[in-house]
This record gives sequence, C-alpha cells and structure tokens, in this order.
Amino acid sequence: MIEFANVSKRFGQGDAVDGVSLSIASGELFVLVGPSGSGKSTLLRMVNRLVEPDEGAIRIDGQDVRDTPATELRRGIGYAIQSVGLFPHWTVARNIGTVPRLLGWKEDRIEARVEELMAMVELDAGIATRLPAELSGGQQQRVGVARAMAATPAIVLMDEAFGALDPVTREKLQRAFRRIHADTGTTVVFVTHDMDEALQLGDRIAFIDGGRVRQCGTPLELLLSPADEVVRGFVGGASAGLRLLSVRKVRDAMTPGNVADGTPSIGADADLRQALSMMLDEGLRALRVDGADGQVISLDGLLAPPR
Amino acid sequence: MRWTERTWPLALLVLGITGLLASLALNAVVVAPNRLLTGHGYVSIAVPSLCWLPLAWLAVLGTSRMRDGAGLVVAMSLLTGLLAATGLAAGGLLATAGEHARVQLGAGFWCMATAAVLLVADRLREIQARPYLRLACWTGLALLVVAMAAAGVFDRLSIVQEFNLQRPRFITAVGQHLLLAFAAAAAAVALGAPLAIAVAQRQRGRGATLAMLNLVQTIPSMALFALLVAPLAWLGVGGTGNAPALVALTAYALLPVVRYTLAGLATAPSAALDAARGMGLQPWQVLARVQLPLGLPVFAAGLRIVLVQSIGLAAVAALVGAGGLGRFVFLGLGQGANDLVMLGTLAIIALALAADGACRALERWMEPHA
Repeated sequence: MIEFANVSKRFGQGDAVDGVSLSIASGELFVLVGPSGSGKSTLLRMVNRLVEPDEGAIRIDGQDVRDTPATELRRGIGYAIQSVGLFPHWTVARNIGTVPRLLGWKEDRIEARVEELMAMVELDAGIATRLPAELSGGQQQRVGVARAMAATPAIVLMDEAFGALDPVTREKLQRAFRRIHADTGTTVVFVTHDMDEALQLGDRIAFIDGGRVRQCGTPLELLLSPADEVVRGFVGGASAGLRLLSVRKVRDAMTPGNVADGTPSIGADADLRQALSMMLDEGLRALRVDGADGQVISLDGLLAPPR
Repeated sequence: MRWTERTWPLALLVLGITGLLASLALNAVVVAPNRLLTGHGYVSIAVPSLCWLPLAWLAVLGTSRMRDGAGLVVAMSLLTGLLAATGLAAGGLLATAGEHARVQLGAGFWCMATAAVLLVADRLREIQARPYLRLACWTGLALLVVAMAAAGVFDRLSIVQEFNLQRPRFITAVGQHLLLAFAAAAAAVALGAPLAIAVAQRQRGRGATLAMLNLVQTIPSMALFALLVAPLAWLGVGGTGNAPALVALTAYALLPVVRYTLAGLATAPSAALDAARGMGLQPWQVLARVQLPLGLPVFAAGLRIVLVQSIGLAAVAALVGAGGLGRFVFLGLGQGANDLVMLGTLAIIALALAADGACRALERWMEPHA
C-alpha cells in the first residue's frame, strides 16, 4: 500500500503540490490524471524520492520512504517515463537488465529474465542485441516497460509512459499493459494528462488540478458523478456518455433475452462502445453474447442505468 | 553551363593560379655566400631543373575539371617532382658557388609546396576517398620523401645541412618537446576533468570556473612564462627550466579540458539520466556507466585540441630554458639563421599534425559502430 499523508511541495523542481492525501491499495492500477503543470508528476516522483516533499510523508506498507536510502528504495520500484530514457550505448537486453545487474543477479538469471520480459511485452527476441536507436517508438516504449518491471518490483511508477506514441500503437500497448498488470499483480501508479487513457487503464483515478486532488474514484464514479465543473469538463461534458460506454463491459450490461438464429455475437469482455458500433453496422437492436447462453446485449441494456 | 562552384572547382583554381604565379614571380631558391648572409634569389624558370614548374601548374589548371583519380595523380606527381627537383637544383647551383655557399628555400618554394599539399588534400576530398586511401596516399608521400632524403637528394639544401649539424640535439629536443606537451596535457586532464565533473554535478560555479580559465587564456604566453619565474623561484622549484614551462602549459590546457569535459558530460540525454537516477544508480554509477561512455567522442576531440595546442605552445617554453624544439627557433632568430628557425618550426608543425591525425583516427575508432 502506498500512502500520501498531507504531502506538500512549494517550489523547486517540478510543479507545486498542496496538501495531498491519497491511499493506493496493493495490486491496484492507480492513475493520476490532470492538466500539465498540475503537480501529478511531482507526486509520482515523490514515491521514489526523485523529489522530496516539504511537508507530509509518503509511506509504503506503513514505512516512511525516507527511512530507506534513496538508491536502495529506487531499485525496488520500477520507473518508466515518457521519453523512455533508454541508455543509447547499451543493447536492448542490457537496458532491460539494468536493475537486476545493480542488484547483483547472476548473468544467466538476468538473461532468462530478459527473455521472459521481452516475451511479456511482446517484443521479438531477435532485437535483444539491437541498440535503442534502431528501434521504433513503440518498441522503445515496450523496452522501457520491460526495464521498469525487470526486477519484479512490487511497485511500478509510470510517467506518461505511452505519451509519445501514435494512437494505434498506444492502444495496443495499453491493452498489453492491462494484461501484464492483471498477470503480475504489481501496484502501478500511472501519470497521464489523457482522460481516455486514464479511464481505459485505471482501477481508480485521482484527478489532480493545481496541486490538489479534486476527485478520487473509479472511472465510473468520475464519469457518473464528477465532483465539480472542472472534473466534469475534463471527463468530457457532453461526450461523457460515449466515454461511459467505452469504460463499461458487455458483461456489465447484458440481459436475459432471445435473438433470432444467426444474429452476430460479441465477446463478454468487449466494451459497450464496440457493441454499439456493431449494432449500428448491422442495423440490429440486440446482439448475442459469446459464451453466455440466453444473454443478449441490447439497446435497452445500453440505456439502462449502470449497475 | 553555369559558372557555379559545382562546375568550376574554385579551391582548385585558386591553388593552381597561386602555384603558377609563385613559379613565375617568387624566388624558388636563394643562393647565399654562407649560412648567415643574404643571398641571390632565383625564380624557378631561371633554374634549369626547375623551369618545368610553370608548365606543371598549367597542367593542374588544365586538368582542374577532371573528377577521377587523374587529378590526384597530377597533384601527387607535382608535389614529389617539386621536392626532388629542388633538391637536385641545389646541387647544380652549388657547383658554381663558393665553398661555404648555402642553397636556401625561397618564398616561391614554400608557396608552391603549400599549394601542392593543399591540392592533394583537395583532390582526395573531391574523389571522396575512404579513410584508408587517404592514409595510404599521405603515408606513401611521406615514405617517398624519406626515401629521397635517405638517397641524399636533399643533402645540398641548407635546411638539411642545418639538421645534420644539429642532429643529436634535434632528437633530444623532439623528445623534450613531446614530453613537455604530453605531461602538460596529462596534468591538465588530471586537474581539469575532476573539476569539470564537480562543476557539472553541483550545477553551479560553472560560470565562475570558465571565466577564470578564460582569463588565464588571455594572458600572452610569453608574459605568463615570465610571471611564473619569481613565484616558482620563491617556492624553490626553480624559476627557469621545466617547472614554469609545465605550470604555464598546464594552465593553458585547463580551459579546453574543462570545456570539453563539460560538453562531453552533457551528451547524455536528460531522459537517460532521469531514468538512471530513478532506477537507483548511484551518482558515481550514472557518471561511470552513462555519462563517461556517452561522452567519449567529445572527450577524445578535446584531448586532440589540448595536445595540438600544447605542442604549439611548448615552443615558447624554450625561452625559460625548458628545451624542446623552440630552442632552434630562438637560436636561429638570435643568429639570423633563417633555416634553423625553419627547421624548428617545421618540426613543431609536423608533430602537431601527427598528434592531430593520431587522435582523429582514435576518435573515428571510438565512435559507436551503429
């Protein structure tokens, strides 16, 4: 568990933070979202002591981060940033193995771990000996994610980690990352200014503005009951309804019912936006749900208030 | 066809015309009654074995638009021909002169030789010669000159006679000169690199440090050597000899060392540094594993500048009795023996060029092979 207890940072490096208290559960994918200059990166960088707070404390599993020497603390926390920051003179494999090497792992263990990580982030094993400059932006980000997770840290910090990518690559990486998170059970703190990304990835989201937390809750809570006008504006105002569809799954809105034989079907894990799009394409009011007999997803289901 | 630089090789034309004018109007050689007196000059067309030179320069101009190896062959032939013919001309001229007569190289020779060397360089650049071809050409030329010297082609030239008189002292002086320059560069790196690293890590004191080193750089070298005499004598290390020379050369070398070290340390992308710190590398690990390896090409370039600068400045060290090649320059100036001055100067230039070439080769080798 990561706990921010009344944390403030007035000036110096990064943007100001003003009396933030947050509690992030173990295994959670927690997103800090907000406009640029809101102080969300400063908050993130306080966890691994790249920034020290002026007031308040940050505790990991009840222990103040200041009790651990900074370098030791950081080796136990994964860190990935928007500009990736791969070491240009090291191969992909060496980059990924940075922290295990710092921790003094044996060479063959590092090698095996690198292989495993490259498979996990869906990188071709053949590029292990390449230099970062020879990779595409998407590949570099994947290497960055693999490097952050190399020493199986309990916590991973990600600062706009998918920020510099084109939308298609970005969505692919987000999906891969969701899966990785589900598989590993790592606690992830993810900073982004992109509300779609926040809604897509986050188990919970804290909306940061002017160094304060304006609202903290699940994607549904932010969409359905924004705390104030600023949050409402950020979650989309008039198009919040469409975002709501992309956050909710077919599984959450399906209802018992019958459709004609031969009606197209959709997976239970697809989001409602995809379901609506398919209905529009096919000119149908309801679709069959894969692997759920007697269940359909219908327009009425979409319109029903979220459960 | 338009008269653009692309269709008319401008550098080549300038070099060719310079050579042609020098061959027609300037003294190629000077015959003096002895090594100190002023002599009588001869334009190349007035000397039988040199009278072909204007034609050769016309040939250079005539072939100026040839882009293949032919131009390079013409340039290299001209250079070797000029050297060999001048050596032979000296023999011919001495046959009819007095016992102590000397054949000195004149302004015409130096102009033509410089133009010919630049011509070879320009031709090599023009045909986009690969590094090994360039090296082969220059080494070949150097070997040819050495072979001609060994065969005695240049023995009747005054500058070679001066060299033969000074040979043992000359070899010692080359050793002293290199030792002084390398020691100063090493001392400057030992002092300057840690200073630059400290400045870079604290993110302050940069302006003040550079300003102070800049100030040192503005003191004329002669003045600095003179200024050091009294304090070093008082310290007991001696106001003359190697100590003041080493101190002064080190002081001059500090600025480039600090500047290039700072520039080299700044080569590492800031994102890589942030990631390195965020992953838990100790500050010294960030330095040793990220900043130093990434800055290597810049450090090598800095070392080259420092070495070349120190080799040049070490000439002045002779003034405070530190020896080195500068000795011949000042000795020659005192005696009015221009060939002795030239001997020292040429040797210093050759050393500086050799150091520059060696460091460049090292830099190319160190560049990432991506």
